[in-house]
Amino acid sequence: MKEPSKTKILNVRLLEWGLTFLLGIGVFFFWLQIRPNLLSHQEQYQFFLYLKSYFVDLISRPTGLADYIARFLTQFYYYRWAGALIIALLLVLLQRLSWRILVLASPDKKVKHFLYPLSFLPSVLYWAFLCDENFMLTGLVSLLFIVFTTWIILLIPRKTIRLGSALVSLPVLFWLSGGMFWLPFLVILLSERIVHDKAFSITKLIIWLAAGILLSIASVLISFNFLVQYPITEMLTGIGLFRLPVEAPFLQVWGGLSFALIIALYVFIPTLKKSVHTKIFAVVSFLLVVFIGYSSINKFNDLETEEYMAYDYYVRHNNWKEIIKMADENTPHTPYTVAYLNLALGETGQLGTRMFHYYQHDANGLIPEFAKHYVGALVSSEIYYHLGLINIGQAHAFEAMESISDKQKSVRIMQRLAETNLLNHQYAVAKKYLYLLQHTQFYKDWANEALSCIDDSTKFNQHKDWVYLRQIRTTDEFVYSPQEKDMMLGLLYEHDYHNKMAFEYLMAYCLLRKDLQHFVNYFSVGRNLNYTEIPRHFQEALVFMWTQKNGTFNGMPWPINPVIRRAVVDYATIYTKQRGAAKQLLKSRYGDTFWYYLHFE
Amino acid sequence: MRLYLSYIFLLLVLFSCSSKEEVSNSQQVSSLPDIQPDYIGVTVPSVIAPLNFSMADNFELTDFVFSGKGNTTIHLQSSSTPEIPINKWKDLLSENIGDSIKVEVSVKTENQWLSYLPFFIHVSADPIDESICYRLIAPGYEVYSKMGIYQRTLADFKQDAILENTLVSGSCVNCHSFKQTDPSYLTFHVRGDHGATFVATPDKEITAYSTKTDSTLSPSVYPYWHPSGDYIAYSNNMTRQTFHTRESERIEVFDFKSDVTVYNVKTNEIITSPLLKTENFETFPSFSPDGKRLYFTCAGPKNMPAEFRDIQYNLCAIDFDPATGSFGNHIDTLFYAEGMNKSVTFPRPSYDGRFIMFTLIDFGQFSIWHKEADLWMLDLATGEAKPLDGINSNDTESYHSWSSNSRWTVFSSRRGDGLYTRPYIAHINENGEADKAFLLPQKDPVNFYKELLFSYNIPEFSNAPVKLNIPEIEEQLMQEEKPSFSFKSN
Repeated sequence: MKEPSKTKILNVRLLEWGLTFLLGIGVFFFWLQIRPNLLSHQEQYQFFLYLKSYFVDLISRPTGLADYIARFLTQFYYYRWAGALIIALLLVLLQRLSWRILVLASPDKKVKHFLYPLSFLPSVLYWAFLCDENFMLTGLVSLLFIVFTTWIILLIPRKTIRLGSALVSLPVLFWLSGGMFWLPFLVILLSERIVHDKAFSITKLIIWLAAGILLSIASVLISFNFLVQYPITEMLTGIGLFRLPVEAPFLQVWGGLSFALIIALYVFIPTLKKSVHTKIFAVVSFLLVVFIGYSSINKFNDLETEEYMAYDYYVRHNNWKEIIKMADENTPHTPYTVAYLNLALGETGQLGTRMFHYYQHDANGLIPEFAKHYVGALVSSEIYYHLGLINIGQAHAFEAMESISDKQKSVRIMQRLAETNLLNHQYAVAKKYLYLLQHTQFYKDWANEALSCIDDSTKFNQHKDWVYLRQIRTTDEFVYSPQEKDMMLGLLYEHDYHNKMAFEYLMAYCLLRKDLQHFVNYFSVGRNLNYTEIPRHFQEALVFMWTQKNGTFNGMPWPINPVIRRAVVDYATIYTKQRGAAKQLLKSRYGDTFWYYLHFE
Repeated sequence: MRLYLSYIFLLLVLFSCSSKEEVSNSQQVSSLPDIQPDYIGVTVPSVIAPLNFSMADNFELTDFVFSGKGNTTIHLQSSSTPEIPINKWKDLLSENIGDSIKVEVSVKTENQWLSYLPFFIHVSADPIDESICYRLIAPGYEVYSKMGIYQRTLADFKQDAILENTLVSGSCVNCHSFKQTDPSYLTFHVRGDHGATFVATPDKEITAYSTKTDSTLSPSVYPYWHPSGDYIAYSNNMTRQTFHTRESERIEVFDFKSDVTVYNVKTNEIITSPLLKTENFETFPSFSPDGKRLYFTCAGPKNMPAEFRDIQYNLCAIDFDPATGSFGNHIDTLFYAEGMNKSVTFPRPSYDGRFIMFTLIDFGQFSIWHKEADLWMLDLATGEAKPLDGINSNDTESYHSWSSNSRWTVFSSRRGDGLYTRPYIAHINENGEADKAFLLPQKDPVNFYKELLFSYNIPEFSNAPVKLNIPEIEEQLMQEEKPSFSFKSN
C-alpha cells in the first residue's frame, strides 16, 4: 500500500489534536458555565492541609497517593476557572495517554488513525462521572495512574523487565491508586502475546497470569488482615473514589473497563486499506463516543443539585441579592433552596414583605429540622448562625462536617467553627482551627487575620459582621428545644431588640405554621423595631385575624394599609362566592399573599 | 574508592560532632521555663516514652540538658521541639528510678543566652502497664466521621488500630472494657445498622450479641468486668441530648430512665435486682476488686428533661454473690453527693480495694461536657472523700481508669483547649494522693495535639496487646441475625 504523504499525515495529526483541543475547550466551558457550583461544592467539602500528618494519614491506606493528589488539585477549585481548567487538562491527558497506549498496542505496528475517536471514550465517561457530586476527582486521578503506568511499562523494550514491572505494579498500584490496579498487568500480559511476541505461549501466559492473580490477592488480603480496616469490596475497587463508599465500585469499574474496551477494539479491528472505509469508521466511532458521552453526561448531570449548590455558594459568600435574583428568575421548590431564599430575604429585611412571592411549603423551609446529613445540617447551621444562635449554628456545623460521607473534613465548616468559637470567646479552640487553616492554600490569610483579632479588639471591631453577631448572640442560658422554635426565636429577639431578623423569623415561623394566635400574641413584642409600616405579610395576617371576628375595620388596633384592607375584602368575596373556581382566580390575583398560602398551600 | 570512603567517614564524623553552641555568659532567670506540654515536676513511670517538649514562645535556639545520678546525660539544642533519643532516655530513666531527672533549660534570644531555674521529673519505682487503649473520636454530638479504638504502647510512640469504623460504613465503636487491664477479657460496642456488642474471654471466642431484651430499657452500655471474668455489669440508659445557648456550655446529655444490670457471660443471661430496676436512675456500674460488691451511681426520679439541672447522683453499692449471681437486699450510699449539691459519675475502684476514684460535677451524669468536672478519691477504709488536687484543672477531668497495680491512673482532660480531650497519666501514692499528671508523650507533642481533630475517649490501661480478628469481626457484624442476651426472670 502506498505510504501516506507527509501533508496527509500532518493534516490527520492536526485533526486529531483539533479534536483533543475541542475536548479540552468543551470540558472547560462545561464546568465553568454549567457546573461551576459543583466545583465550589467539592472544594468546600474537603480540607487539604500542607501538613506531614495529613499526607502520612492518606498515604497509609490503599488509594492514598491518588487521593492526596486529587485533593491537592481539588483545593484549586477555589477559583472556578482553575477547577474547570484542571478537569479539562486531566481529561485531555487521559485521552492522549489512552491514544499513546492504543498506538503501542497495535499488533502490526501501524497506527490506525481512524480509531482516534475511540481514545476519547474514557475521558467522556469520566466527564460524566464527575458531574455526580459523589464521584470524587480521586477516581480520575486513580485511572490516570493506571493508564500512565500501562504506558510507561509498554515503552520498556526488554520483555522480562516489561513483564516483571507489570507484576511489581500490582501491589504498588494497589496501594497508591487502588481501584483497577490489575489493569496494567492484564493489558501488558495480553499485549505480550498479541502484540509483541506471537511465540509467547499460552502456558507462559497462564503462569504469568497466575502469578499476577496471586500477588493481587495477597496484596488485598495482607492489607485487609494486617494493615487497614476497610471492607474488602472497597479495597478492591478503591477507597475514597466515591463519597458514599457503598456505591463506590460501579463507576470506577465502568471507567476502567472502557479503557480495556478501547484497547480490545483497537487490537481486533483490522487495519483498513480503503480510504472510504477508514473515513466511515472514523465517523462512526466519533459518533459513538459523542453518543455515549452525551447520554452519560445527561444521566449524571443533575441541574437541580447545581441549583441548590448555587444557593449554597451565594450563602457562603453572603451574596443575598444574587439569591433573590435567582429566585426571581426561577422560584425555588426544595426545602433547602427555599430555606436559603428565606435567609436571604431575612438578611435583606424582606421576609415580612416578600416571602409569599415565592413558593412556601411549611416551616421546614424557614428553619429545616436537623438532618444527619452534611447538606441539610449545613443549611440549618447557616440559618442559626446568621440569626445569632451561635451555639446551635456551631453544633449543626460540627455535625455537618462529621456527617460528610467520605469522612473528610470541610474547609468551609472549619472556618465557621473557628468563627463561632471566636465569637464565643473560646479562643483556645478557635486557635486550633485557625492553626490548621493556616496550613491551607487559600485560607491562610483569612486565618491570620482571624488570629490577629483574638488578641486585638480594635481589629476585631473592624469586622462588622462579627461585632454584630457577638452583640445579638444570646448569652442567656436556655436549653434549645427544636420543637419550640418560636420560643427560641422569641428569647433570641428579647435578648437584643436590634435583632430584627430574629423577630421576622419568629413571625414568619408562625405564618408558615398557620398559627395565627401565636402570631398575634408575639407581634406586639416587635414594637421596639419601630416599623414605619408593618411588613405586608404581617399586615395580611393581622387583617385576616381581625376580619374573622369583626364585620368592619373600625377599631382595628393596627395601621393596615387601605390597599390591603380592600384586598382582603376582595379575597374573602372570591373565596366565599366562587367556590370551585376560587383557587385559580385567587392564585392569579393573590398567589403572593399570606391568605393564599393559608388556604391553599 | 578508599579515598571516597575516607571523605564520607570524615563527613560523618563532622556531622556527628556537629557542634552545639556553647551556652556562655548566660543570664540566670529566676523562674521556671514556660514549656509545652507542662512536664515540670511530674512523676513518670520508669518505662515511659521520651517527654519531648518545647518552649511556649519562639527563640533562636533552645538548649536542654537532662541529667541524673548516673552517667547518662542528654544534651539537645534546637530551634523547635527537639526529639529526645529514645535509647539514651531509657538509660536515663533506668539510672534514676526512685529519684529524679534534672532538666536545665536555656534559651538564646537576641544573641543572649538566658538560663531558667532547673526543674525535675520524678521517676517512680512503681511499674505501669504496657499500654493504654482509647477511642479517638471527634467531640461531636450525634454523627461521627472516622473514629476507632486504638492501642498505644507507653514505652514508645507506637499506636495501632484495634478497630476502626471504616470497617463497616456508618458505624460507631465505643465502650471498650477489659477485665482489670487484662484484654483477654474484652467487650466493646459497635453501633449503627449492623450494631452489636462483642464479648470475648479466654474460654469463649469473640461473639457479636444483640443486647436489647424486652425486659431492659435499652441495649447495654457502660460495661465493667467482674474480677472473675464471669460477669459484666452494664447499665441500660434511655439517653437524650440538648444544646445550651450560653457560650460557656455546649451540650447536655441526660437520661430519661436508667437501670443497672449484670450479664452472666457463661449462661448468656442478664440478671438484676428489683433494687436496681426502680424509678430511680441507676447507672455507671463497677465491681469491687473482690467481686462481692457492685458500685453504681443513683439519683432519685426526676421529670426529664425539665429537671435536668436538678438531677444529682450519689455513689451507691449493693452486695453481689458471684457464686449464685444474686444481689444483697439493701443499697448503701457510700458518698452522698447531693448533700454537697453535686453529682457523681464514673466510680472506679482501685484494684487493691482501697479507693474509689470518681468524677464530681454540679448535676447530671455526662461529665465530659461539664467544665467543673473534677476527679475525687474516696478512701474506703476511712470513708473520707477529697478532690485530687494534684491532677485537677480549671477545665473538665472526666473518664479515668486504674493501672493493674493501682499506682497509676489515666484520665481524660480538656485542660488543653477546652474541647479536645487528651489523656493524662498520674501517679497515685499509697495514701490515695495524686502526683502531678503528665500529658501522654508524643514525638512532637505540640504540633501533634494541635493537628489532631480527635478526642481521646475512655482511656484504659492494658497489660497486653489487643488483637482482633478483623475479618471475623466484619463477618459477624454483617450477619443479619445475631445471638441475643436473654433476661433471667426472678
